[in-house]
Amino acid sequence: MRQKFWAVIIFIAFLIFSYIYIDSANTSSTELADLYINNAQANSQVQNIVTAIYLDYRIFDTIFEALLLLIAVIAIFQFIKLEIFENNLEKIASSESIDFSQSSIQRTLVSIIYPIFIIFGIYIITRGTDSPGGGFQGGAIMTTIIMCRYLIVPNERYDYKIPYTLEKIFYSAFLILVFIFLSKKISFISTRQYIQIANVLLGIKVACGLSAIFLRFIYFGKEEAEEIE
Amino acid sequence: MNDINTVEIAGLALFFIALFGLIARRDIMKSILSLMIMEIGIILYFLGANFRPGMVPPIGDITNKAVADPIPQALVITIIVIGVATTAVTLSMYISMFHRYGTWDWKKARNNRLKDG
Repeated sequence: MRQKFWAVIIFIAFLIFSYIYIDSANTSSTELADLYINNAQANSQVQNIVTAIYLDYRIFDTIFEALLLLIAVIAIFQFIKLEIFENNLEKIASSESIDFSQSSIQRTLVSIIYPIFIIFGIYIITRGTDSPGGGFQGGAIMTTIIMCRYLIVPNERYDYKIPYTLEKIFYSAFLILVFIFLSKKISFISTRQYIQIANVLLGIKVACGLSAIFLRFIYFGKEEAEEIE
Repeated sequence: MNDINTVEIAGLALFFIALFGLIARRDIMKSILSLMIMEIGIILYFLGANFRPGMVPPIGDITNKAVADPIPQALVITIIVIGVATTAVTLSMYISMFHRYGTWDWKKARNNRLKDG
């Protein structure tokens, strides 16, 4: 009964909000959008206006959002460290790297297909200036590299500290590039080259961060089990 | 009624369905899934801003055409990737909480916490 009461209230709220929305639709001006559409391609020398917005016009948004991703990765490392799997002693690292209890069809097909993922990720990262793509999107695709490798050889020793520190190095390089570009005192790179390099750095940074999340999730049992042994 | 923006109505509907799931269920996994769906509803609402059928994306040759609004797209790109990281943080908090209180029900976990003092 209580759930039906909440369902009715939420349905009434939905009707109120949709009435407000339909009443005020198409009454806003498109002044800001017209400003970007008319001027962005000429000022930033790239064809993709969305990339020009998040790397040239609103660069501070991007800096802090990349920082937010980095802090989320640090938070995950802190949370799982607090909880120790003390009863997880049956997870012994086996001597073979291939787990034969898993499907061999999956292992074979993934090992054939994953080079295509790598090429696709690099294509999306580097073609961010003239066609849809960019740093964040390509970075999320590049994390499939470590996921495919885990699907093929799950019992190998992966070091989760490597993407954890690499992410910070690439983020620092991205910040240095942005401040060189914004200070306008060193003007040897044009806007288009700056956007291309910034896309690559951002893509690798996002890929390292999401890979660190993935590796921390699959290995938080094994390291404590090995410490106790 | 011809020019109703169906993308934004769908975003609103998803948001309210997920809000119901957040209120009316006691399993914490369902709360986490509801949060993810609420975020997707908000993203859909932003992407449908000022959209009419027949608009082209803001890439390439855009002279003499109706172009879609580029600003919400640029803001939403980062939100999608950060949503993944936020979901990972909530899931790791859920694992810690499960091992501390031993239940997947938030009401029982609250009773356990109040009993411990």
